[in-house]
Amino acid sequence: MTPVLNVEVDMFSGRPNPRLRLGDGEATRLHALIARQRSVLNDVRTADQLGFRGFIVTNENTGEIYRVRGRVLQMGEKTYLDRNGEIQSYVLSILPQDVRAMLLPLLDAR
Amino acid sequence: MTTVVTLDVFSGLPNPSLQLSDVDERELHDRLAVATTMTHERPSGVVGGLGYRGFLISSHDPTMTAAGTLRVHEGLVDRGISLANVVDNTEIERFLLGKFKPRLGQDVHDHVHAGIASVTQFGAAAAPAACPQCDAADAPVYNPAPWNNPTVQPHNNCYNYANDQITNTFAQPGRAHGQQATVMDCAHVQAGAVADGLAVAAHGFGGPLAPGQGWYVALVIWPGADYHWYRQDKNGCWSHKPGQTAARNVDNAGHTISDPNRCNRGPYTIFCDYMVTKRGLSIA
Repeated sequence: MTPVLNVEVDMFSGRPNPRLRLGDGEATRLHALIARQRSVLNDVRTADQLGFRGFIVTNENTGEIYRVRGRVLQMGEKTYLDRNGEIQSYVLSILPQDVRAMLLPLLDAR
Repeated sequence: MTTVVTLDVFSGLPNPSLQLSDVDERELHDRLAVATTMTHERPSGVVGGLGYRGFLISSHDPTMTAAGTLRVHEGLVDRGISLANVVDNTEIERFLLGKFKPRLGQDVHDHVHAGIASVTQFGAAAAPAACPQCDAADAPVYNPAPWNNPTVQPHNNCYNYANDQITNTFAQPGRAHGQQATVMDCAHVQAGAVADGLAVAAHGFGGPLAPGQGWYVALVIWPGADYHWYRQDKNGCWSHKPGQTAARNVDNAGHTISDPNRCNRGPYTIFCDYMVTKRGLSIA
């Protein structure tokens, strides 16, 4: 079954965060990236400051919620290392241009 | 033994690296050996970010405290995902910055120095800033608990919090009066707030406000993107609620806010004005 994924860019304080519902191809690709085997991280703090705090990915089929920021993937109580930052990179690539333009100056461009 | 240290600070340029001398290697080893307080905390540098992200220490000696590369940042020695970390309280970072100083431009050195200096002693509360006296009789008491309740927190934003009104509508300046701002700049957002009944403070936030006259708030802008509000509480310090995150009384650097015009606001770089709000205004 094709996953139904919504992505929320958690970055604003006053305005509601930008949200997008992914098309089938994008959802399949993102789901595959999230589902890859990854190393477990211990006790990474969730970002909650002003500015970019991560991407919140919601799977409408399962109700699962994932949070992605930099090279960290949070799934429920567990945190994983996305060594190459491929999940964030992919989400950035499918964002609307105006949202990406606001985000890029805030991200580490390594 | 060979120890190479990399200063993780740049985004486009290669990060500077240096190989420690034998004497410096021994001193670094000694400093690492005495850092014995364990912690599960991890420094933010492990997940990236703009600017100073710590020092990476790569050593080819199996007798070192931990295997592989260490990251020293925010007063912590991060030993990787399979080992607990240790607390250093920035002594190692200061030592290493001294070794890099001859190789760095003054601005880069100052940036790293400021990043290290901004870290408070691990486990100790941040030294309270000298918040000014609050002269608004109706100023709210700082009590974040109701705002950080799971049924409230996601549905109320900075504007709700500054006005001390839980509406569960993620309130927008001007929306209650048909004048919601669509352009993210001071003029438009402020106009929306004025439509809701807020007023520009005539003389900053120092003048007395009698009962019924409200309390002070402040508007800042992330240019072209968003707005944010702070409010002054009864104890004179300022607090805020970034979007759907928790209400708190510290800025983006974890410091007490004595004046939002001079605190760390992340991308909300434009300070618009101090304003006054009060009980009974209608926001939506």
